[in-house]
Amino acid sequence: MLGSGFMSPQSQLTPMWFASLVKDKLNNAQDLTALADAELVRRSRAGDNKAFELLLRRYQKLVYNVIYQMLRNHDTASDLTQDTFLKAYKALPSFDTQKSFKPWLLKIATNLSLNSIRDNKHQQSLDELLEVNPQAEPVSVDDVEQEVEWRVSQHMLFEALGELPLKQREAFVLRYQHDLPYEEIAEISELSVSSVKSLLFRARENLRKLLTGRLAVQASTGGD
Amino acid sequence: MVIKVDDLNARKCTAIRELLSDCIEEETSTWNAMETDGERVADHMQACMSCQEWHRQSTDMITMARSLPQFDVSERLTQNILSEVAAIDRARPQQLKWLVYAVVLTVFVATVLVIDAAESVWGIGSWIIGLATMIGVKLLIADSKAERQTV
Repeated sequence: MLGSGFMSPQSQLTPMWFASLVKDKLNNAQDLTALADAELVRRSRAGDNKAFELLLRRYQKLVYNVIYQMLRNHDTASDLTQDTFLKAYKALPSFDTQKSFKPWLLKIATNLSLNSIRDNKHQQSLDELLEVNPQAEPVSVDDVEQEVEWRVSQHMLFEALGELPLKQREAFVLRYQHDLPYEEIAEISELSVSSVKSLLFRARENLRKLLTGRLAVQASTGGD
Repeated sequence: MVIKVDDLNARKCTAIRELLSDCIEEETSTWNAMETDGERVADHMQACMSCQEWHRQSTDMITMARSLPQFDVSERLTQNILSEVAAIDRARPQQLKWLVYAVVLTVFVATVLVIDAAESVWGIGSWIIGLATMIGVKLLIADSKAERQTV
C-alpha cells in the first residue's frame, strides 16, 4: 500500500507536473540569459557549454558585423567569426574576469581580421590601410565645402566606409554602428582614449570628404 | 608674414570642429558655453555657415551609421562553432592522457639513467631487456585473447 507521502510514477506524470517541469526549465533558461558576461565566462571555464553558447549567441552578430565591415566578404567573415569564438574559448582560462568580455572578444576578432588582410596581401601596404601615421592627415576645411546637396543614402555611406583606412573604419563602426564607448574602443585598438577620439575625428572628416565627392559626381552626371 | 583673413577663419573653423569633435553626438546645449581662442563656440556656430553645414553633415552621417543594417548570423554557423567547441572539449582528456604518459616516461628514463647508469651500462641494458620482455608478453596475451574471440 502506498503511503500518503509517496507518489507513484503514474501520478507524477500529470499535466500539472509536466507544466511545472516546463516552467522550471524555462525559468532556468531565462536565468542563464540574464546572467552577466563575467558569470557566463566563469561557468564556461567550469565546463558549462550552455553558458558558452549564451555568450556565443549574445555576441556572434556583433563579431560577424565588425569583421564584415573590415573585410567586406561574407565567407571570410563567417570563417573568422568561427575562429574568433574558438580562439576565445581556448583562451578563456587566461581571461581576466575583472575586465570586460566584449572588448576582449572584439580585440581577438579585429586582430584576426588584420592578420587575414596581411596574409592576403592587398595591393596597398598594410601601413597604408591601417593609417598608422596619425600625422599624415590634418583635414583641410576648404576642400570639403562644395556646393552640393547633402543627401546621403545608406548605400552611399556603406560604400564610402569601405574606402576608409582600416583603423578609422574599425573605430567608426565600433563607435557609431555598434555604440561602443571610447574606453572600450581604446582597449580593442590598443590606443589611448584621446587617440581614439582623434581617429574618429579623422574618420568622420574623411567620410564627409568621400561622400561630398560622390554627391558632386552624382550631381554633375545628373543623378545616374 | 601675411596671414589672409580666409586662412585665419579656416583655422578658427578647424579649431572649433576639433573642439566639438568630442561631443558631436551630444545636444548642442552641452557645447554652447565652450570657448576657443577667446571665441564662444555658440557665437562662431551662429555666424559661420560652413561650420553649421559641417555640424549638420556630421550628425546626419552619425545618425545614418547608427541605422546601417546589420547582417544576421546563420544558425548553421552557430552550430558549427558549438560542434567545434565540443571537439575541443573531447580533445582535452586526450591531451591530459599524453601528458601523463610523458611524465611517466620521463620519470622512468630519469630513474634508469640516474640510478642504474651510475652503476653500469649493463643496468640500462637490463632495464631495456626487461621492458621489451614485458611489452612482448603483453602483446602475446593480447594476440591470444583476440584469437580466442575470433574462434
